[in-house]
Amino acid sequence: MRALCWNGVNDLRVETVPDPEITSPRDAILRVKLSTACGSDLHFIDGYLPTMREGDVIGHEFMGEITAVGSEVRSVAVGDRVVVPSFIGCGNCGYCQQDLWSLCDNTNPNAELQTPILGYPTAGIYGYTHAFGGYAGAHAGYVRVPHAEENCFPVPDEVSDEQALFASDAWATGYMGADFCDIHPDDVVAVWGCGGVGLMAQQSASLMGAERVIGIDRFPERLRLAREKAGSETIDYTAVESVVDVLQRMTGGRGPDACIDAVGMEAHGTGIGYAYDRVKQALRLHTDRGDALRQAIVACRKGGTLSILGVYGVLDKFPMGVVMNKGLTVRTAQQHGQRYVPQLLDHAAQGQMDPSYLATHRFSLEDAPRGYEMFKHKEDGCVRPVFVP
Amino acid sequence: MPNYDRSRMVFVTADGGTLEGATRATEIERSITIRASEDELYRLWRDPQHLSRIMDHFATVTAVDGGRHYWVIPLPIGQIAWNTRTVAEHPSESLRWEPLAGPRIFDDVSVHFRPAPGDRGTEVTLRIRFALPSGIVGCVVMGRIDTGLGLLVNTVLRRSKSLVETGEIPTLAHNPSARGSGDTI
Ligand SMILES: [Zn+2]
Ligand SMILES: [Zn+2]
Repeated sequence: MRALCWNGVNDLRVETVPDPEITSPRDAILRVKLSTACGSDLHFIDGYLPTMREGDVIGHEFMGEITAVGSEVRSVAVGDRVVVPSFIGCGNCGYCQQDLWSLCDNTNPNAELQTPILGYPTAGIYGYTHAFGGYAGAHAGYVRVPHAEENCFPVPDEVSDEQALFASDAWATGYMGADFCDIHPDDVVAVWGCGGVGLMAQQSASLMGAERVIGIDRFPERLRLAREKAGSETIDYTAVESVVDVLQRMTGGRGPDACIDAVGMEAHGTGIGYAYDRVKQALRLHTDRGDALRQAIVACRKGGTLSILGVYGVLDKFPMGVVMNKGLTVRTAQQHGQRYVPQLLDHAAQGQMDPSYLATHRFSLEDAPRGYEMFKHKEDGCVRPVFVP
Repeated sequence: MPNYDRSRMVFVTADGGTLEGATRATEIERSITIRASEDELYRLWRDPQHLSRIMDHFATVTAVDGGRHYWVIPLPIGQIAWNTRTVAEHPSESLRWEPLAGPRIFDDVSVHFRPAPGDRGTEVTLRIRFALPSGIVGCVVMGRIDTGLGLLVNTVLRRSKSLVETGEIPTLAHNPSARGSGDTI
């Protein structure tokens, strides 16, 4: 099959690789119908995230059609059109049982690469470094899905391929970020970042009943999407002296009840480091990034909620004293997609929320390197490039 | 003792020499919590098939007879193999594999089970006393167990947990990649 492979820093190529196979009776093989790029992919493309290996197939947001299942798979079948969350759950460990799927104990074959830094391993993920599992990614003709019954969610006929595609990660992540805020009807929610995840967080916050949602970014076309598609008020942070002051003015001096960070280190380039030799070269840690997070901490009202979706490195500075003195509640996680996907598909089927406008550009898989270029440099207002194998 | 030919040390160096010299003893203990009962885990850990599957990355374990097990660690040149006697002083609480005479890599292996709080299952503690040969043989063994002894013990526990909780050990077998099969790094 053809697949988008990482070959080194800023060196993506579409190559021919072996097809995946059923390796366990609980596996399914999917023919990928659509996949999309994610801001977090830029970490390893730019060389800031170790444990990539030349030839790795990348991509973790996808949907498709099941073409084969192992002998123990019952609840889904060949021919089903399904969406698959990016983190792989087992369904049987204590974490999966508590709906904390990205913390699954049993799906990372390279768990011991993570434990020196994290203490305990995360779930495995498709196409996202060997420390995060090493599983082949989904920018490919086919992909193997372990524990198919837990990870494949059939898509209702009323829901389009593109709507289902974003439920696999960007939408689920943004929705989780809003869910973390325990939104009350008169709440004001501010969201840093109007990329795929930030827009989804804003729209989800509105859906959950927030009185006002404020989106913060610097790209005019993304701010326009926030206003027109998510119904948010917006702040262009390059056009104001102080985002914190503007937010205070907008909220009668109180500050937003909840602040969602959907930026992380993605725009700046630092990543999660591991205790291996290459880390020092690979990390190139900038000590003064994370402006969005610091703004969110200062802007948030006392006793408010800080919901962190941005992906950070493990050595970042964090103003704990401010969080503590203001009595903030911090909630964060990699996405627990399996907890949210059924709700999201339902929202799409009912016409309550539609994420498909994130797909600003479409490419054949063969042109995926060009799609990533466009995505990285935000050319032509690219929010998410969608790839069709 | 009869029928113990297989307990003889079968490691041979490239020049036909045998394993000699002092050993370095190191004891490593690691714990994991598994969602299963003590009884189930006790039964599984007595099964050499379970032991072989969870140690698949560096050792095989086969039953000999009467609670005796035969352990083999293959090396790039030859292998080290030895027999153990299973000691079960406290059924469903702990198991010990005591080495019989001869060279070996594990001087003593024991596993202990105790109930975890709530419905979390069972806390499993694995203790391995390594008897690492010195000199070149030790280096070869360490090369084989190249992730370090603590990681090795952790990995054994993790594999047991995944097998018990999900019926499989997560794998990258046949993982598509443009450069060979995508195994661990
Ligand atoms: Zn993603
Ligand atoms: Zn799990």
